[in-house]
Amino acid sequence: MAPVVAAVAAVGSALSATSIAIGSAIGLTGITAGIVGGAVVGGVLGAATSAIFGGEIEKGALFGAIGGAVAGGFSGANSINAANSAASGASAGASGASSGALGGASLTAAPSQGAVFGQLSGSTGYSLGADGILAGASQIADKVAPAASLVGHAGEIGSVIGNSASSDMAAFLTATKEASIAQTKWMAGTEAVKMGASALLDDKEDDALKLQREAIAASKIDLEGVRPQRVQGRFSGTTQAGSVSSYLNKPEKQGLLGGYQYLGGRGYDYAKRTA
Amino acid sequence: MQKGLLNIPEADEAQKGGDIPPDDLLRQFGIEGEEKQIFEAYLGNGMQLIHGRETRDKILSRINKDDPEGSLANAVGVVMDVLDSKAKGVSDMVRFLAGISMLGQIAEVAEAAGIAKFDDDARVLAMSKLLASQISKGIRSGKYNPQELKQAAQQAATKLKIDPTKGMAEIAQGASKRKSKGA
Repeated sequence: MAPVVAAVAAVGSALSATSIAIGSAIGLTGITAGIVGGAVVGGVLGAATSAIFGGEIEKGALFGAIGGAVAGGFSGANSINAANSAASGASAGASGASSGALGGASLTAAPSQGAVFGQLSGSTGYSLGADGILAGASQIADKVAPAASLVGHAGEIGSVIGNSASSDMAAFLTATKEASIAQTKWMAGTEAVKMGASALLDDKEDDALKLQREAIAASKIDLEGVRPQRVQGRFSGTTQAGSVSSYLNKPEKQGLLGGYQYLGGRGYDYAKRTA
Repeated sequence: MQKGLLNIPEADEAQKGGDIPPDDLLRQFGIEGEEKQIFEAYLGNGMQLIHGRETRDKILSRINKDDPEGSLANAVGVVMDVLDSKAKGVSDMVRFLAGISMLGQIAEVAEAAGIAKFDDDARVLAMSKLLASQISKGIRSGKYNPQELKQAAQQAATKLKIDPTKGMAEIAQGASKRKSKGA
């Protein structure tokens, strides 16, 4: 066993025997061992998960550490704000994770917090909507397009938070790809990327956004003519290879669906959207 | 920060030992015998840096009011870097316990000097930042294997009966609620 592994395991063992002495070492008053232990374990878990999924290790560690401390009973406002800052751009991923949907864990573009959530949630599913954009745009094109054909409403394509490492997700993607292979996959995919990107552009400039921008740039996705728009809404619920249900809250009022026309069995008219 | 402006009492033995983990705590972490000697040497050298006249001001000059927690974590990290450069192969458990003890010490000295205040919240945040920095450094350098770390952390979480993911979700949910309120 590697030394650090033994050390982490020992922290768990030692701190499980409640002792405030460890808190006293830092000069804490009235802090239980659970908070310190939670920070240690959460920090290690967040860092490791981010490293595995290619996120920002230090941010993942900080988010994990404070999350662990909170799980141990900590409620310090400044620390939680700092964790929020580290998790900027991942709030929807977090919501997705906490509600049973999958938080983001894209391989290259998701912020580390998305990776943490995606991996730790251990659940399957999609989370769509501009508030939930965490995945790299390069992945969106590939994943949203088949989902779009099942959804049946182009306007409901926002973005996708996907976990490529999830076998369930992989199964779902495979199934949906096969089901939609004859449809306008790339067209819808490109639209999804644009829509996802447009929502990204509307968000605050932060590290997560920078990562996503870089991913978009690296994938050479043409964003010309895309207007920043914010999308409110969610996309939730999926089974491994089953149907996808989704909704957007009054999307027509938010500008997302303007210009889209569903042409029945003939697909979608994107001309107005891209005009 | 200019030298000579700090009104810090010289460290006496009681002060140095005030927050150092007691032997029974060290035993809980498996630090006994030779390992305990290493711990005492490592921490003792750190305390000399923290309290020594020649080095104290340099360390404290790293604490700034704009980011007291981050700068405190950074200051501890610098001290640990110095110690690690002088003593190779010190175990992670020793570094962990010594590190948080030094964090507490530097916080106390900085408070005594009137540089910044560190309440419980600030100390937990500083500790989290120090942990994040040290762990990420170890992963980036290849010292730690993320897969092994993850497995160990999950085991430790089980022993501690703590689910860090719940805490993370709680934080994110709070952020989401605040965001929607502000929208």
